[in-house]
Amino acid sequence: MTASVTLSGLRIEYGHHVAIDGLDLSIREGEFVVLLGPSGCGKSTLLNAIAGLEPVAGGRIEIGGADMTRALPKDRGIGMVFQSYALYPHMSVERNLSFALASAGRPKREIAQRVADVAGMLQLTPYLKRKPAALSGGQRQRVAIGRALVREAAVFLFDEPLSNLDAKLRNDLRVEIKKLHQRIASTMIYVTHDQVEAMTLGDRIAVMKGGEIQQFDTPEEIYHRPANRFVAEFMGAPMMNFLEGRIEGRSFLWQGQRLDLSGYGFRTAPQDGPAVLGLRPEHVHTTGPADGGTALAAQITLVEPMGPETVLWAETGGETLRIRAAGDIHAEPGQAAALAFDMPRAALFDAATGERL
Amino acid sequence: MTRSALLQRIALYAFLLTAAAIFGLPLYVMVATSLKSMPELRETGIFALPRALDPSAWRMAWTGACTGLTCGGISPGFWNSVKIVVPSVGLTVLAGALNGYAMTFWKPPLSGLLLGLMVLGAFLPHQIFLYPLVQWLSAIGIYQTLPAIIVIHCIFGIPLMTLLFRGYYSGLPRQLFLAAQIDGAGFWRIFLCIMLPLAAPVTVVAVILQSTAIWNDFLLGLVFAGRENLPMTVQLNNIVNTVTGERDYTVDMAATVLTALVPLAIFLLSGRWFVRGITAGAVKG
Repeated sequence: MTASVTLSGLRIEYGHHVAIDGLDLSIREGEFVVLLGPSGCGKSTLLNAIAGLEPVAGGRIEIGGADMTRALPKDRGIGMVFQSYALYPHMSVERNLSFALASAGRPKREIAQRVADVAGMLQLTPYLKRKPAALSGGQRQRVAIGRALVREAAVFLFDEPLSNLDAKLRNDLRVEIKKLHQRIASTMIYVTHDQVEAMTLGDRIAVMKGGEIQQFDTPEEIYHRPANRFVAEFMGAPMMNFLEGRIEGRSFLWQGQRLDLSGYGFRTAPQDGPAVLGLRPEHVHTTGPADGGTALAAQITLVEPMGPETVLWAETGGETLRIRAAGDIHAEPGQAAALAFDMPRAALFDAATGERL
Repeated sequence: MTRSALLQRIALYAFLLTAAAIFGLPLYVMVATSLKSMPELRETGIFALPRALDPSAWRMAWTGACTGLTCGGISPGFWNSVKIVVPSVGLTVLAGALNGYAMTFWKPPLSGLLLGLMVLGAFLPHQIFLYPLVQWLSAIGIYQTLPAIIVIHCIFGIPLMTLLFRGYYSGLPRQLFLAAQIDGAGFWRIFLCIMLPLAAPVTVVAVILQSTAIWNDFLLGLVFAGRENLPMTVQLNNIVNTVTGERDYTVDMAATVLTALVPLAIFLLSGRWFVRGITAGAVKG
């Protein structure tokens, strides 16, 4: 079962406060969409509105082409997985899984069959008689997912489902959720503030801030071609470097350096004036320019070995740059380095609006 | 054990023993006196152990002592109290659970105002309402009947019960309620299948609080129950204050212990549950 989800002109208010105003979002059948943003950006509000748990002040919600703006949660063909799992603590796993079907008044044989199927699929069969308190965190999360599966939901809604788990379990369950999506092909909408979850799970990511979608695109586009400075800052760790300078002709002027912009794909013809150059840490090289161009003299101030890579902090012209270097690099604080920028892969932002140029 | 720790221990036990004596001694005096005869009581004083266990005062208190004009003992009062307490406790606790659930999760319009009124209702002294309630119950023709006293206990009990349940439900994760909505459960199904079973600890507290309070009530029973339904506390008062000839302290004490027996038993049997219910803030899933 799968369905498309279309939001148009959606407006959500809390009293006099407008949380979301005129939001449009179109999600294809079977797509895995991640709503990503810092806390308070409206991503959970948006998810609750799709679920029917949050009243909508204006606009339209369509699920599978049908108008669901005012429909009850149970009639929307959705299943939802909550951050706190929200399992019924006094019921066994079996009754947790069957509660929705029993509420809908389905025949006992059908309920038993579907609960057995889902339990088998999620490897929960040995735990059916247990109460949630007697399960591990990962098992509880699987029960929560099972509760949505049992209902044969066309759209799965996940509200930060992994943020209560420890790091190792989080990685394991992330993979399980991805496998689940490949297997059942239902539409999935997944709220998180974790960029790793967003990058690894999403077919497309909607980066949100202040109740607005900043960019809605594939993980690759979001990472490599961020639509504005907020998206660029939010995605990627260590954070992108931002250099404030000027565009002059086909060059970026910064600290007396003239950086070549001829390989940069401008959206519109560039105009001379102040701008911000964004450089991912992996696009700053310590090995000097490959093409024999000018190198920037810098001094390394901090070395953070991560294993597969090493993050260097280097100072040049009063700015500190984050650099992603090879894991086997030998660097010491105080050491001099010759830096080169991978200019065609940089991002240029308007100094005033922060929009990509 | 170090010296200071030992001293602390001694001080702690001294305090606990004193506290136990303060509460235990009156109980001892009552029980001991009720098992004596009046001549024995006069000879030995109130702290002496009874020479033989003489149950005649208890029998007298239960079936023979005079409460006002009739001399049938305190047993009719006991059954009257049962008839008042059981429906009153059932109704107030159920209504409190339902109100608390509705106000916490469904947030009806004006729920803030309602809550304020409930707090007011729970803590205003009941005497203020006596006269208007007498007038009102007379007007609808049930003044001084069993339904009247039950209605009165409900009116005075529901605000506190609502606050109790609301406090408990506010501590439950709201996502539980949302999940049940997604699962297609409506107002009643969420209440009966999820929220009421989850509130078991606080329900125990509520039942204990209410049954003790209603059992111990004197004023409302006296005013509203009517002559046929006077609760045990009122009849106890009548026994103790009815003086014909010699005052028989042994019967008074036996009647008093009998009246106190129900709340005492409730606390002794459910003390563990009571503490557990009061401290059970969150039911973790």
